[in-house]
Amino acid sequence: MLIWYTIAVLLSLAIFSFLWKDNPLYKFAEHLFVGTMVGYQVVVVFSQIIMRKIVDPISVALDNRQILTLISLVIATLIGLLFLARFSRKVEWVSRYPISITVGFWSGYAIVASFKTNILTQIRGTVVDDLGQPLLNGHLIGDFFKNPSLKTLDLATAGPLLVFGVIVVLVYFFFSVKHDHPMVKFANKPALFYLMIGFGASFGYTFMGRISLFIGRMNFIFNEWWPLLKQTIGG
Amino acid sequence: MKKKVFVLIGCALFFFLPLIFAQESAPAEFFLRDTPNNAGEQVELTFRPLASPEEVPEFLLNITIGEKPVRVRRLVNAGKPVILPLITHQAGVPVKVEVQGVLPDGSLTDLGAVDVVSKGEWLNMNSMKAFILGLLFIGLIIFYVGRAKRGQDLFIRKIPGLEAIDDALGRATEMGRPVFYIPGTSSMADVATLASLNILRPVARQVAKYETPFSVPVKDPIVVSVAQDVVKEAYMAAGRPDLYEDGIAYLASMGQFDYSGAVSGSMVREKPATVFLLGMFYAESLILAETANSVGAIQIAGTDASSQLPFFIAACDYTLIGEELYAASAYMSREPLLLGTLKAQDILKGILLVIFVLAVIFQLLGVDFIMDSFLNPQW
Repeated sequence: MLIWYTIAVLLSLAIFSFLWKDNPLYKFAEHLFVGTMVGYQVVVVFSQIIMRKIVDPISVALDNRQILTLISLVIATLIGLLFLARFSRKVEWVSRYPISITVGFWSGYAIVASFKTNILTQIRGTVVDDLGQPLLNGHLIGDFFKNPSLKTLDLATAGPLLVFGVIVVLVYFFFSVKHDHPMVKFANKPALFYLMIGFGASFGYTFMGRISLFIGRMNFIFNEWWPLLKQTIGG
Repeated sequence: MKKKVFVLIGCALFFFLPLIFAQESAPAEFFLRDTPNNAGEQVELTFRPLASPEEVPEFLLNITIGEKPVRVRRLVNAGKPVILPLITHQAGVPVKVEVQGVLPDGSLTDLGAVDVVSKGEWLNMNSMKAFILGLLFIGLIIFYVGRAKRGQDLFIRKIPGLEAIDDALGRATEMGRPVFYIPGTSSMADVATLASLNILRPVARQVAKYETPFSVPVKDPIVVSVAQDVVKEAYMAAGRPDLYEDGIAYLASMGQFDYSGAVSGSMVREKPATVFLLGMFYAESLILAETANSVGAIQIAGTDASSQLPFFIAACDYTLIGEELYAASAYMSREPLLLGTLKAQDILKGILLVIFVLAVIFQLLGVDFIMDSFLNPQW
């Protein structure tokens, strides 16, 4: 246990040493990491893809005499094997077929899903909230004037700010309209303002996440490895 | 006499019939149906308790899916209807649900059984609106690509990051240091990767023209194949096939952080003058951008991953934000196909913006027409 923990600590320190400068320790850790991951990926591909998606289903289809399934599996496997044609200069061109099939399939597959999730659902979510109430809600604005407080101000302004932000940012991303077009001119500055506020918030949020990862690593070194080391040495 | 008998029977029915029906009314009603708009991988049980939680605190559902053993599920009577999805994985699987009520004394009472066979549909009507929008988009693309091919000038506004590409490549050439191009860390399934590979072509052509050392470390094996082809074609188009070698685009590693470790190491050793970070990035974005910054490289970044954009904006010299990445390939290549697509994209965006504004106005007026028609998730 102590040996593995110590190796983990030494490798962590070797990676952190990159903050000082590139050095043999970092190089060693980097090469070890890359080598281990490549080896790991080979095993994952073999067990999770070659065995689970090709060999096992083909055996099941053979056992159950499911001819159509068998044919589709064999065809898909053969198409996949065409990738290996890259190793021969003569038949290298053949490897473009599986690439074109992959790209074509994913592009087509993504169209309807993107329209549904990234466009229609997003637009709907910008017009009404989760409870189906409109984001531009006159009642909420009226509530603020009746009972002015931070909470009612937040409720009254959140929706209109979101709606306005979506409109100006969408206009900002029109590429075939000239910069001096009045609509673009009007939207440019507020759009950048919205974008930068959004990115700033996202930066802070993610940065805190990274700090927590660092704390986790330090926690491992000082609260797990160090006590274990003391305990082992001290008997 | 007859009249009196009829009146007596009528009175008796009037008083006793409700009692008979009250006794016979079940503590719950339930039905099983095939979930519509799927390939038969799911059926759903709609369960509505009619008895109060004091009368029947719980129900037991004995679920049989195909030839699997019976699964018992306990349902606490909360007085509310429940829709329970039951996964069959494929069409043609018989599903049976036997329901029992658990009485307060712990005894069980049979409430009956329902069954259904899962079936698949050819069309998912829930996606029909997206499909029609897709058709409209394709129609617009065909129309505008046709116009671009006929030589009509389709305007695209300047994108600042792209204006800097030539300077950045020139700088690398003058300094005699390599150019690194990182096409994201995602697969070909990602639109950002496709956009990045489109930008790789003109960049590689320029690099070949200037005879600058070029390196394209990639994380995905399929992207490596495509990147190699793109770079090869670009070198040939620049009239320098002699400079091309397969090692320009190579598989650095397949894991996220080992890839960033390997690329960071290469950057520190080879000290590129220009680094392109274009495509889909995840948590490794800042590691790569910071390392490139530390070796003094000019960085031109772009991604549609909104969570990674802040890091690029903070650490890179130029950043293509979101859709600018898609527009960049059209802007640089001026190919009719890409120009037409970009124009069609703008038109569709305009149509959606109008629908959005109308939906907001209609909602303000209390009319749900657009929400119920265009923006309803169901067809």
